[in-house]
Amino acid sequence: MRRVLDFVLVIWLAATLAFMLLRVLPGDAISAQLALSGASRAEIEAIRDDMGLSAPLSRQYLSYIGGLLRGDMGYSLTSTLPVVEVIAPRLLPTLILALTSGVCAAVGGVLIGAACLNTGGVGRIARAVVNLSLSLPIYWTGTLAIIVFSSWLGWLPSSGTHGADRLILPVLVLSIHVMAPVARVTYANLRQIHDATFVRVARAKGLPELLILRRHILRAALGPVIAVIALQTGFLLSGAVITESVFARSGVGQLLLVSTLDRDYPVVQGIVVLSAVFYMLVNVIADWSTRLLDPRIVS
Amino acid sequence: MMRRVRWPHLLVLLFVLLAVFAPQISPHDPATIHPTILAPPSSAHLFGTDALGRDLFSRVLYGGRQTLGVATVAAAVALAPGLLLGVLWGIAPRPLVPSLTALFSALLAVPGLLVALVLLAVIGRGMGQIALAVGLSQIAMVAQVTRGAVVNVRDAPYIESAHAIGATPRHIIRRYVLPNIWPVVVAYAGVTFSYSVLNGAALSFLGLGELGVPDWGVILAEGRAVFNAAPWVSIFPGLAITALVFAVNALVDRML
Amino acid sequence: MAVKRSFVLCGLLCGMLLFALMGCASGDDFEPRNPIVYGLTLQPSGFDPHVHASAELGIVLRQVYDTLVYRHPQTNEIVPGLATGWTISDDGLVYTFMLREGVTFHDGTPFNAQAVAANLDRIIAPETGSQRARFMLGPYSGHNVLDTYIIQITLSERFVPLLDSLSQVYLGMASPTAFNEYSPTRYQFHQVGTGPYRFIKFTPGDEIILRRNEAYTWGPEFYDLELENTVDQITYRFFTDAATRATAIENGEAHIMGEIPPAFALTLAGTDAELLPVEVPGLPLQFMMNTARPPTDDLLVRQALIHATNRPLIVDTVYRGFSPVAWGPLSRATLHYSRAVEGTYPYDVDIARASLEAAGFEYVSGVGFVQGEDDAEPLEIIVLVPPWGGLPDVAQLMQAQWREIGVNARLVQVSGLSALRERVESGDYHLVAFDSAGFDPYVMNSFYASDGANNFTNYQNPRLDAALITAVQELSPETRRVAYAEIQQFIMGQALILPIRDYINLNATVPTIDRLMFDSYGWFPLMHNVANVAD
Repeated sequence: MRRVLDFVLVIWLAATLAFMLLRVLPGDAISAQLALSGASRAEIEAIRDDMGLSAPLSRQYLSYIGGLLRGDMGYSLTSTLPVVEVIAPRLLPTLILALTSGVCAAVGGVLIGAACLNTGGVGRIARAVVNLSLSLPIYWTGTLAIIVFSSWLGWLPSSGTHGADRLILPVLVLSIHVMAPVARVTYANLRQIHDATFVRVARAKGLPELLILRRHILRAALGPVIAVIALQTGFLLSGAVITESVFARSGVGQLLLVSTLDRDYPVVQGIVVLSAVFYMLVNVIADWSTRLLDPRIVS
Repeated sequence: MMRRVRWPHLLVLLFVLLAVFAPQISPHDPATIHPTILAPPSSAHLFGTDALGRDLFSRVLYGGRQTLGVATVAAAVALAPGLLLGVLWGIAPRPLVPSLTALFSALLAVPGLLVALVLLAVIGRGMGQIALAVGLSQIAMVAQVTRGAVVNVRDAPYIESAHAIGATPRHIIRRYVLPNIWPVVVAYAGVTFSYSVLNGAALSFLGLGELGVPDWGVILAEGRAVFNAAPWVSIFPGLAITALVFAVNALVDRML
Repeated sequence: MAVKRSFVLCGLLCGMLLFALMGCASGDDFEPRNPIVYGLTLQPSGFDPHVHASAELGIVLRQVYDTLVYRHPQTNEIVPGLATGWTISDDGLVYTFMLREGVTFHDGTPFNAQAVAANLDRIIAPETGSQRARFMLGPYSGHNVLDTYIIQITLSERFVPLLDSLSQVYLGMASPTAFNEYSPTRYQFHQVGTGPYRFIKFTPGDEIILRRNEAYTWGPEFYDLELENTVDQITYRFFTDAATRATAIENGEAHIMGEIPPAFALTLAGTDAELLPVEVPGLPLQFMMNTARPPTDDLLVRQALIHATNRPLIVDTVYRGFSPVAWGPLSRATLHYSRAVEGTYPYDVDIARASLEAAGFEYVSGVGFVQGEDDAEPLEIIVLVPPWGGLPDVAQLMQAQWREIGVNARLVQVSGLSALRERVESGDYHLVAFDSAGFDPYVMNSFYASDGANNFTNYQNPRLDAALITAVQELSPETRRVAYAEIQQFIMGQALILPIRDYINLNATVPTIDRLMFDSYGWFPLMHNVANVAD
C-alpha cells in the first residue's frame, strides 16, 4: 500500500513539474504552419482560442491532472491526435531497444565485472575496457559503427526501425554504454563477497572454486547488480534518445526531440510522465527480484 | 600527503592547457574558409578540413574551450545546490524525510537528458543555456549521492559521541559531517564533470548548440552529415571527448 | 529454489522480448509481385490531406486521391482530372465543374457531385481543424449541386489560384462513406480515395502501405493505362537521417529516396543509382530582411548586404552544383517567374563597401564598419537560421564573406518553424532565412502584403499591396504575368530579400526504377506509371 502511494506521489510530482516548466511558454506549435497555409492573422487567433491555448493556467492544470487520472494526456498540437495515440506506436521500438540493450548490458557487464577480478592480464584488459566504455559518447560510437559496419563493410543497415538487423548496431552501441556501471558494481561486489564468511565456509567445505563462484558468489552478487541496472534506467533512456537519433529509429526518444523542437508540449509532457512511470516500474520489479534472489534479504 | 603525478593528471592538464592557449596554438582561425573542402589530414591541415573548408584541428582546439567551459559551468551549477540540498535532506527532521524523498524521486525518475531537453525548450538554445540545463538536470543526482554519504556519516559512532558531549548541529555538520563526506563529494564532482562533458556535447550534437562557436558536439554533428566522404571530421572530436572523459574518470578512480 | 526463481525471471524477460518482437510481424495473405520501398524524409505529424499541412503527406497521398483537376507535369497546364471540364463565370466568382462518370472510390462508394460537396463541407467545417486545405480555397463561399455530375463552387471575391488549389492533393476527393464513418482524427488511418493506389495501412512512425487499384481507369491524360511492370505495392518508410539516405539506396533498402544531401549525391553519382533532381517552384531559399529595424531599414544597407554575398560560391560549396543561384523572390520553376531579376546585385565588395559608406557607416580597420561618431558601435546584423535546407552552412559562409568587408553577422539558430516565428514576432532580427513551395506566384502574397501573416520583412507599401491583390484577382493570364513581373522587380528594387538558391528536391532511385515523374509542385511523385524492372 505504501509503495502504491509512493508511486502515485512521484508520478504526480513529475507531471506537475513538467506542466509548470512547460506552460511558462505559450504552447504554439501551429501558428507558424497556419500562417504558411495562408491563414490570416485573425483566423490564426480564432484557432488558438479554439484549442484552449488561452485558458487560465489553473484551469489548464486541473483539466490536465483530471485527464491524467483517466489516462487521457490531451491532444498533440501538431497532429491533432490524442497524445496517447501519438506516443503508443513509438513505444515498441524504444522498449525493444531499451530492453534488449538492458539485457545485453547486464550479461556483458556481469561477465566483464567478473573478469575484472582476474589479477593477471585479463583483469587489466577488462578494467581498461570498463573505463573506456564509460568514456565513450554514444553519438560517436554510433557514428563510427555506421561508418565501419554500414558504409565500409556493408554488413548492416545504418538506420531505420524495421527488422532485427536494424537493431544490432543500436543495441551494440547502447549496451556498451550501459554496460560499464553494471560491470563496476559487479566487480566491487564480487570483490567484497569473495572474502565473505559464507564463501569461506563453502571453501572450507572443499567445494570446487567454480561451483562456489556459480552457486554462492554470483547469486549473492546478482542482487546489487539488479539494483544498479534499475538505477541505470534513466541512463538507458537518455542513451536511447541519442541512439535513436543517431540511427534514425522512430522511437519515443526521437518523438521527444522533435516535439521539443516543434513545441508540441502536450506530447513532451506525456513522454515525461511516461518515463517516470517506466522508471518506477523497473525499480519496483528490481526490488522484488532482489528479494527473490538474495536469501539474506528477508521481506 | 604527496601523491604521485600520473598520466591522468597530465592528460587533464594537457586538455586544460590546450583549451586555454587555443588561440596561440591553433594554426588557423577556426572560422576561416579555406578553398579545399573535406581535405583529408595533411601537413597543411593536421586533422583535415570540414565541409565548408575550415581547419578541423583549429576547430577542435577551440571546441575544447567550449566543451570544457560548458562542463565546468554545468558541474558548478549541479554541485553547489546539489550538495546543499543533499546535506539538508540527510539531516532533515524525520517527518520531513518522506516528502523530500518523494520530491527527489520524482526528479530522478525522469532521465537527465530528458530534463535537460525540456529545460532547453524553456530557456532557449545556446552554449550557456546548455551548461545551465545540463547542470540543473544533475542536481537531484548530486543531492542523492551527498545524502547517501551524509546518512552514512550521520549514524557513525563519533557523531553520536559528539551529540552526547552536547555539540550543536551546526558544529557537528561543520566539524564532523562535511570533512567526512568530502572525499565522496570530490570524487563525485569528477563524475559530474564527466557527465557534463558527455551530455553537453550530446545536446549540441542533437542540434541545440550554437553555430560558429564550435563545441565538440557541434563538430561531431557536422561530421555526421559527411561521414562517408570525410570520416575524419567525426573521428577527431569524438576522440577528444573520449580522451578527456577517460582521463577525468581515471583521476576520480585514483581519488577513491 | 532461489535459482529456479531466477530462471522464471529470465523466462519472463525473454517472453516479454519475444512478445515485443512478434508485435513487429503482421499476418497478411497478399503476395505482392512487384513491391517497392519509398524513402520518406520526415515523419509528418498527421496524414489527413484535408487536415494536415506537411508536404511529406502528399508524396504518399498523391497516389491515393484524385483531384478535380491536375497540373500536367510537362506542360504545367491545368488539365482534367475527376472533372472532365469546367467553366468560370465572367465575374470570376462561380466555377462550374462537369464531373467524370463511372468513377468509384476504393470502398465502392460512387463518385459524384454529392461526394464533391461532402468533401468541401468537410474541409470547411471547423471541427475538421484544417491546417491548410481550407485556406487554399481562399474566399470560398459555398457549393451548389446542379446535377448528379455537375457542381458549382462559389467565391465571395475573385480568386484566380482556385484551380491551382484544386489540383493539389490537399483538396483531393475522399470517400464520404469513409470520412463519415471515422472521426476527423481517426480517418487518417482509414483513407479512401479514387486514385491509382489504395491505402492499406498506416503505422505512425513506422510505415505506410499502398496497393495498386486494379479498377483504375479514370486517370489524367499523363497516366498511361497500358503499361507493364508497374508497381503493385508501395511501402513508404522513414529515413529521417539525411546522412544515411544515400547508403540506403546503395544497399537497396529503398528503391526511391527524396532529399539526398548534395555531398552524398556526388558519391551516388559514381554508383549505378540514378539521380533525379526536381526543381521546386515557390519562394527560393532566401534571407528576408527586416525593414522595421535599423540598419536594415536602410535600402543602401540591404543592397550592400546582397552585394557582399558571394552566392555562386555558397551554392557551389553547400549544394555542390545541384542548385541554381536564386536572383529574385520566385524560383525559376514558378508560374510567371520573371527573368528580369537575373544577375541583379552581383557579388561586388567594392559596391558593398561604397553603399555602406553612403549609408553613413564608417570603416575602422580592425573593427569593421561602425555607426556614429564618438561612441562608435560596430555594425552587427542578426541572422535567424533554421536547421533545414543546408541553411546553417549557408549562414556560416555568408558570415565569413561579410567579415571580409567588415560586417559582423550574429547567427541565431532557431530549432524549428515555431521557434522561428516566435523570434520573428519579437522583432529581434535583421535577416531571417526562409523558403516556401508553390507553383502559383500567389504563394508570395502572405509574405509581401502589409498585413500578410508571413510578412517577415515588415515592409508596408500600399502600391505593392494593390499589385498583389490585382495579381490574384486578374483573370487574364497575360495581365497576371505582367503584374507579377512588376512585383518581382519591385521587391528586388527595394532589396527586401537576399535570395540564395532555387530549391532542388534531389531524389535518387535504384537502377531498376523507370518512368518516375514528379508533378509541377516539385515534391510529389506520380507513381502510376512507375515500373520496377528486375534484371
